[in-house]
Amino acid sequence: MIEGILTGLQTVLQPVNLAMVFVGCFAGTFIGMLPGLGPISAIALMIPITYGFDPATGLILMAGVYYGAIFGGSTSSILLNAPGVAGTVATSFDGYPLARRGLAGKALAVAAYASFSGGTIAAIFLLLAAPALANVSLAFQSSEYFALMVLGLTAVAAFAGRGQFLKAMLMVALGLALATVGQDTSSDISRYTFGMIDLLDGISFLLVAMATFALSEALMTVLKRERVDKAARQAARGGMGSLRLAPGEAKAIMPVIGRSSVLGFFIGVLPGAGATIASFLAYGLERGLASDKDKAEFGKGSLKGLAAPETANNAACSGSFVPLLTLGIPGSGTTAVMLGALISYGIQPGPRLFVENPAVFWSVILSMYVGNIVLLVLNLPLIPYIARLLAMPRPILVPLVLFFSLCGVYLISFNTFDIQLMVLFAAVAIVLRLAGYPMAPMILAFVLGRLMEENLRRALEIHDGWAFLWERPLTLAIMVATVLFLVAPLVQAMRTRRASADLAGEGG
Amino acid sequence: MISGERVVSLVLLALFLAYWMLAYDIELYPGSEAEWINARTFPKAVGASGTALAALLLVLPRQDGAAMTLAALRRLDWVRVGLLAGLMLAYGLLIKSAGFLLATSGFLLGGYLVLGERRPWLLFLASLPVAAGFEFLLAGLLSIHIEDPFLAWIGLAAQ
Repeated sequence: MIEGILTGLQTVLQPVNLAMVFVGCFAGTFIGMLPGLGPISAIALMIPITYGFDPATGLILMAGVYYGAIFGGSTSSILLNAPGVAGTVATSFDGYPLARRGLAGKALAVAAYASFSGGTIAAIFLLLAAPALANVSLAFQSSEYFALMVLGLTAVAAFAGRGQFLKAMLMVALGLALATVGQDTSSDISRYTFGMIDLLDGISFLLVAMATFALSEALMTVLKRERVDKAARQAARGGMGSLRLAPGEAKAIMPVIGRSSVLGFFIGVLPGAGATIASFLAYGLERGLASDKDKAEFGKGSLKGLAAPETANNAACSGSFVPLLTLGIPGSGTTAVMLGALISYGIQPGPRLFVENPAVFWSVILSMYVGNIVLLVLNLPLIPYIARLLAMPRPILVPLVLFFSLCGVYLISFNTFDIQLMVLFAAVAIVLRLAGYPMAPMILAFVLGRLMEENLRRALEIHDGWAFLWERPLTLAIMVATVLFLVAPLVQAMRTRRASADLAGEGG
Repeated sequence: MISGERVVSLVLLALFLAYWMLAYDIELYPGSEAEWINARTFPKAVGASGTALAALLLVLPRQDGAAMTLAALRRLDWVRVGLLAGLMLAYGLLIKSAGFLLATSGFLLGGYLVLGERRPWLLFLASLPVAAGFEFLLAGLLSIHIEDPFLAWIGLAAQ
C-alpha cells in the first residue's frame, strides 16, 4: 500500500497534474456557482478535453471539477437559494436564511470550512482504508441498497417541515413516477413514452434538476417581482458581513463536522447513495440530535444545519470514488459520467484497477487532498469577488441563468425536445412551489427511482419474494429506521395537537 | 370556495390516477405476470401510493397557505414569465434552424428587454458577444461542434 501511495504522490505532484487540480477546482467552482450548471455538465464538458491526456491526468482534472462544482454550488445555494447541484439543496435550507439576515459572509465561511474538513477527513479515510472499504460495499446486497434508498426518501420527507410531510411524500411519488418514464432497464419494455422516441431513454436528471431548480427559481423571482436581492446587493457592495466565526460558533459546529464527515463518507461509499442522500441524512441527523432551542433554528439560519450537509456532501464525494475505483460501480450520476470517461481511456474500473493501474487509483485519491487545500485557499479569499458575479442586475442575471440551464441540457443531448420539456417542467414546478410543495424530495426520488427498482428487482429475485425485508438483519434494521422516520412526524403532530387542545381546555 | 392548493391536489390526484391506470397497460412478456416483479410492478406501487397521498391531502383538514388565493395570484407577474417561457420555447425551436449564435443572441436580447433592461450598450454587450464567446469556447477551445447554419452561410463555419 505504501508503494502505491508513493506512486500516487509522485503522479499527483507532477507539474501538469498539479496544474490540472488547480484548473479543475477553479473551473468547477465557477461553473458550479452558476445556478443550473452542476458537476455533471461541468464534467461532461471536460471529457472531450481530457481525451488527449494521460488517464491519471484526465481523471485528476475531472475530480477537481467535481469538487469545485460542489463547492461552487454551495455559493449559489447560499446567496441565491438556487442550488445547481442536488447535493447542495440541503445547504440552502439554512445557508440562504443566513444570507438574507446579512450573514452571507459567515455562511460562506462555514460552508468553506465544512467542505474542507469533510473532504479532507474523507480523503484520509479513503487513503487509509480504500481496499478494506470496498469490502463494506461488497457486504451490502440489493435488499440493503433498496432499504437504504427507502430510508433516504422517507428521511427527506420527514424533515420537510411541519405540515409538509404529506406534500413531501407526494413529491417523492412524483419523482419516482418520472423515473419510470422510458425503457425498463431489465426488460427494455417502453413505459409512459406515448410512442415518442425522445422519451425512450427516459428523462435526464440534469433536465429535471435544471428545470425544477434553476429555471423555476429564476422564473419565480420574476413572477414575484423580486428586485435585486438584498444578499446580492450587499455582496456587490462587499458587505456580506464578517467571514469570521466566533469561538463559540466554531466549537459548536466541530462535532457536527466530525459526525457528518463519517456519515457522508460511508453514505458516499454505497453505490447510488451519493452526496445528495448524505447531505439530507446529515441534516436530518443533526436536527434530530439538536436541543429544542437549536432545533427551532433549523431552516431559519442554523450554523449546524449549514455545516452538516456541506461536510457530508464533500465527504460523500470522496466516498463515491470507492465503488467507482474498486468495484466499477458509480456511486452517483457524476461518477457515472466519470465511469464512461475511464472506459473511453481504455481502463476498466473494478477490483483489478488497484493492481493493474495503481498510479491512476492512488493519484486520484491523493489529488482529492490537494484539491481540498486548493479549494480552501482559492475559495475563501475570493468569496467576496465571486459573490459580486452573482450580484449583477436581475434583468441581466435571469436570462443568463435561463440560457446556461437550457444550454447545459442541450449540449449533452443536442435534442431540442429537451428544451421544450424543460419549459414544461419549469411551469409545473412553479405551480407546485406556489402551492407549497417542496422540490427536493422529488429530485432525490427521481435520481434514485431506477436504482431503487433495479435493487428491488434483484432482491425479490434472489430471495424469491418479500422475505428479504425481515430475513436479512441489516435490511430489517434499515427498514425499522424508516418506519421510525415515518412515525416520528405523526407522533409529533399528535403531541402538538394534544398540547394545543390542553392549552385551549385550560384557557376555556 | 375551493382553494388554489386544493385545485393542485385535485390535479395531482387525477394525474396519479391516470398514471396508476396506465401502469396496467404496460406491455409484458409472456409469463412475466407470474414473476415477483415485472415492468408493471414498480409503476403500480408508485401510482397507488401517489393516488393515496393525493387523496389524503385533498380530504384531510388543513390550513391553506396564502400564496394560492386569487388575490395573491393576481399580484404575480404572469405576463413576463409567460413571455420568458415563450422565448425559451422559441429558442428550442430556432437553435438548430437559425444557428446557435443568432438564436442565443436573440434569446438573451429578448430576455433582457422583457425584464426591463433598456440601456443599448448593455443590451448589445450582454447578448451577441456573450453568445459568440460561448460558441468560441465550445467550438474553438473544447472542440464541441455545434451546427450553425448562419455561421456556415456567412462562411465562418463548415457546412
